Parts: sequence; structure tokens; C-alpha cells
Amino acid sequence: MLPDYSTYTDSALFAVLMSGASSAELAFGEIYKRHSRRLYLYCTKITGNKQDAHDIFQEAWIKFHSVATSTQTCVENVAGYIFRIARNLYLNKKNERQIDIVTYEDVYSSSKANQLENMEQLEVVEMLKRALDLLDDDYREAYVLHELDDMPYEEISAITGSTVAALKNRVWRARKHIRTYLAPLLSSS
Amino acid sequence: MNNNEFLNQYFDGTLGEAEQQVFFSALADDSVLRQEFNDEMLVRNTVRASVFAEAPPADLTNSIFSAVGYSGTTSVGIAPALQTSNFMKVGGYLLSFAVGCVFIVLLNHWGNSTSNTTASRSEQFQQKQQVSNSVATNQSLGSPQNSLQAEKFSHRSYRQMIHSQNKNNAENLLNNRKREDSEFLLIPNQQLPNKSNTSAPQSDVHDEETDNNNKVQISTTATKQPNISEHYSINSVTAAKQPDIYEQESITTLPQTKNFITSLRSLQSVPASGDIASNDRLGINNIALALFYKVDKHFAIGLETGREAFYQEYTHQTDSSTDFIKQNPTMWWGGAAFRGEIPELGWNETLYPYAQVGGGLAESGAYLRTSTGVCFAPLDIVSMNIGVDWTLLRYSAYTLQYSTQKVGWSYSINICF
Repeated sequence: MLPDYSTYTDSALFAVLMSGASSAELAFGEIYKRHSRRLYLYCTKITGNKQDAHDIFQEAWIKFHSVATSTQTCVENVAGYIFRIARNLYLNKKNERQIDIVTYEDVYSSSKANQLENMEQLEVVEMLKRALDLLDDDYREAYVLHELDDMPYEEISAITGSTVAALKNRVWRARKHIRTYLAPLLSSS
Repeated sequence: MNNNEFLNQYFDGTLGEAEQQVFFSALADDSVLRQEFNDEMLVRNTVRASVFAEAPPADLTNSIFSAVGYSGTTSVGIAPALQTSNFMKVGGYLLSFAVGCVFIVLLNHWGNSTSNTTASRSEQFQQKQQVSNSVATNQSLGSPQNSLQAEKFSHRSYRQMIHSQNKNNAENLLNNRKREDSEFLLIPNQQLPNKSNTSAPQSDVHDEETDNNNKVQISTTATKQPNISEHYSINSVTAAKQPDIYEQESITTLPQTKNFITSLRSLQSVPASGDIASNDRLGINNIALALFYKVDKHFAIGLETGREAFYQEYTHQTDSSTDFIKQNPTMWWGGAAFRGEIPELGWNETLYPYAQVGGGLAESGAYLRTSTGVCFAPLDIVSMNIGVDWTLLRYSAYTLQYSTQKVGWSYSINICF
């Protein structure tokens, strides 16, 4: 009878995956089930487009599996480990200019245009998306992980390597930037 | 700590109780801070509302599992996505439809065999009649041929007579027929035998008026047997009460009434779920089974159960966050169903419109299902429906009510028994 992996901790599942046991697929599936949504959200928001998000998401899981089945060291924070892989992939892609960067002018012009139209909720959502795109990468990453993913600063710190104080500062500034950007909408609503 | 730090720490959830009191006091006094607080609250709620907790697409999940050398997504608890193109899907629909048609044709063939058997019984019945009448006429004529002719005459004139409303007309008709047929039916009135069918209580008041010596017992299964002598000796009033032997035969060959219909339906809905995979693990999906009782030719009531996926969205509000959930669970449903058919509006009562309405309970709420289309019924034992479906599911999540609907089409095979 197969063990109930839903009761295992992440690190225990990682150990099963490391061992190369016949039930490694189930362990990988359980890890995937636990963290795929969060990672997918992170990839989607951090890249700003689905195609890049899909590429990074897929590569991250493949790399995670490759490392987990070949390493001799157990990982305690599995979620942070996967996020770190995805983040590095994102940074690599960005450095290789494989990801389109949204310019301030692009967003500003569409923002001004949108302000003239009815401020329906869908537009607000679209404006928010653009506001997120407008943020610096560091700010956006911290904001997405903390505000959308409810990830504690300490965990974000483990992923990004930044200090908690720096992350707080980024999130706070990101909030202010977004409020400023959405000010016309907020005042009208 | 300034107001901005208070604001951020509040939204970070790191503000202590004493600091919260100070912050709330500042909020009450400072309109600018209050405005910033309201704005941030609005942004936060809107940001979270704009982010659905989407699962990665099933095909992406599949490709990841394939890339790492695993067989499938069953270990994730997600049904594998159907890796088929629209062309393949349409082909699948057509193929299943063709299989259904072949099934119906085979049943049709089987049904014809059954009908032939009935016809054989009918022929046997006719032969039996002929033999019986031959026995009757042979006693007076001694000729089987004449007896058949007499029977022929009997049927023909009798059929015309019972449709006559006028006694004199009937008698005239009889007289004419006697003259016309005299060349091959030379039977004196008094020589023709009377039949007294003991099994027919209505067998002729006038039989009592005829000569008992002329009566011949006819062993027949018919309960309302006309007799040859009636055409010579009875009046049209009593004759008009006589049923026709052809009517009897038609009654004999009527199929048995089929009051129940069992229906197996394939549901081909168009889900609004996008790429959200279903949690189906049983392999029973998009199918329904029903049992109907035919109230009459047009209406049937019954029970129907099935299993299919219903796309759902709902909100889960907590103290610190608002989660928007999208899911596409496969669930059982079951309830009452009402079906109406109008064969008169169709072609030859073989291809005609139908409509079905049903309602009941699904695993997460109540549903209402309607369907309308055409029914193809080449036989009385089997039919096939194809139509468009609309289903509404009312479900609740965290004490709130939501509804979801799906539109599509379905086809079913129905067996009557």
C-alpha cells in the first residue's frame, strides 16, 4: 500500500524524491500540488506575460526535479528552493533580454487614456496590472510575494537573499507607487 | 514611528495592540492618513480580487511530468488534459454518433425479425380462420375453393356494410353483392352455416333469430367472428355491431405497450473552465442515465442521474485576505426529469421534436437542466435523441450562494421496454 504523502512535510517528500524510490513520482506530485499554484502566480506576475511565465515555470520544475534526484543534501525550505530556482531563471532570461520590458512611457500613455474612460472594475484590474508592470523588478517581486502570495518577509528573504528590512522597504515603496499611479481611479471611486 | 510606518506595519500585520490604538486615533484625527488608509485598503482588495488562484494549465503540468520521466498527472490529483485537437474532438463526436446509428440499425434489424414473427402469427391466424371457415362451408358446399370465396365475399360486403349508416342501403348492398357474386358463390341462404362463437358474448342478437340447425361451432381464437350467413339473414343494425375480422387481426398484431424508457445520454457541454483541469478520477464523466415512465404518447416522467464537471468561482474572505477560487470539480447529480415528445410534428412519427426538463441535487448544490432537440425513433423499442442542453447549478461556498451554468449538446440512446 502506498504511503499517504499528503501528511508528509516538504523536506520528507524531498527526501523520498532524493532516494529515487519507486514512489518518487507521487512525492514529486505532492510537492507539485502544494506549490505549483503559488509558483505559477509568481511566474505570471513577475514576468508579466504568460508565455515567459510558462517557460520559467516549466524549467523551474524540471530543474528542481533534476537537482532533487541527484543531490545528496536534503532541502528544508522546499518552497523557497523552487522559488529561488524560478527567480534565477527569470533573472537569467531578463539579462539575456529575452523578456520584454514595459517602459514607463508605454504604461503612462495607456494610463492616461484609460483615465478618460469609465472606470469599470475590469479597467481597474488592468490598471493595477500595468502598475505592477511599472514597478522595479525588486519592488514587484517583493510586492507579489508578500501581498499576493502572503509570503512572510523571512521566507522572501530566503528566496531573494535580501534582508527583511530591505524587503519591507520595497513593499512599502511599491504600495506607495501603486497608490500614486491609481490615484485618479481611487479619488473617483 | 510616523503615520506612514504605522500604515505599512498595519497592512503587514505587524502592528502591536498598543500601536494599533495609537494608529486608530491618528486615523480618526488625520484626514490625509484616513484617505491613504482607505486607498491602500481599496488597492489591496482590488489587487487580490484581480488575482485568481489559477492552477497551471493541465497541458503544462503534463509536459513537466513528461519531461521528468513520469507517466502522468494522476499523482497530482489532476485529470490529464485531453491532448486532442478540435478536429479530433469533432471526429470523436461523429464516430460516437455513427456507432450509435449502427447500434440503432442493428436493433432495427432485430426489431424487424420480431415483426416477422408477429406476421407469421398473423398468417397462422388467417390460415386458421380459413380452415375453420372451410370446415363450416365444406359441410354445405364440399368445396374449399368456394369456402374461400365465400369468406372473401363475407369480408368485403361486411366491411362495406358496417360503414353504412342506413339500414336499407346495407340491405341493398347485400342484395347487389349476392347477385354479383352468384356466379362463384352459389349458396342458398338457408344452406349457409351460422357461426355461434361461444367465446363472444356479443355474438349476435340475431343469431338467436336464425335457425339453430344451421349453426356450426367454429373453433377459432377470434372473439368477434363475423359469419357468412349474416349477410343473408341479418339486418344491418345487428351487422353494424359486428367488428371486422381485419380489425381483429390488427389488434392481434399490435405490439405490446412499452411503458418504460431507459436512456443513456452523453453530455457534450462547453465548459467555461478554460484550462482548469477536473478532479475526475473515476473515468465516469459527462454521462447520464435515466429511467422514464411513459404517462402517454407525449409525456414521460422519471429519474435521471449523471456525472460531469461544473466550473465554479467563489470568494473566501478572511481577516487578512480575500481568496478567489476557481475550480472545475466533477460531481454526481441526480433528480427528477420530465420529457415531452410531439411525434405528430415530425416526419412519419420517426423524426420529431422533444424537450426535457429536470432538476435535483448535485454534490455541491441544486441544479436545473433543460434539453431540446430531435428524436429519431425508427422502432418503438429504440430511439435516439440529439439536442442542445443548458444546465444551471446553484452552489454555496463559505455561506455564500453562487451559480454556474453550462451550455452544450447531448445525444442519447433510449431503449423502451
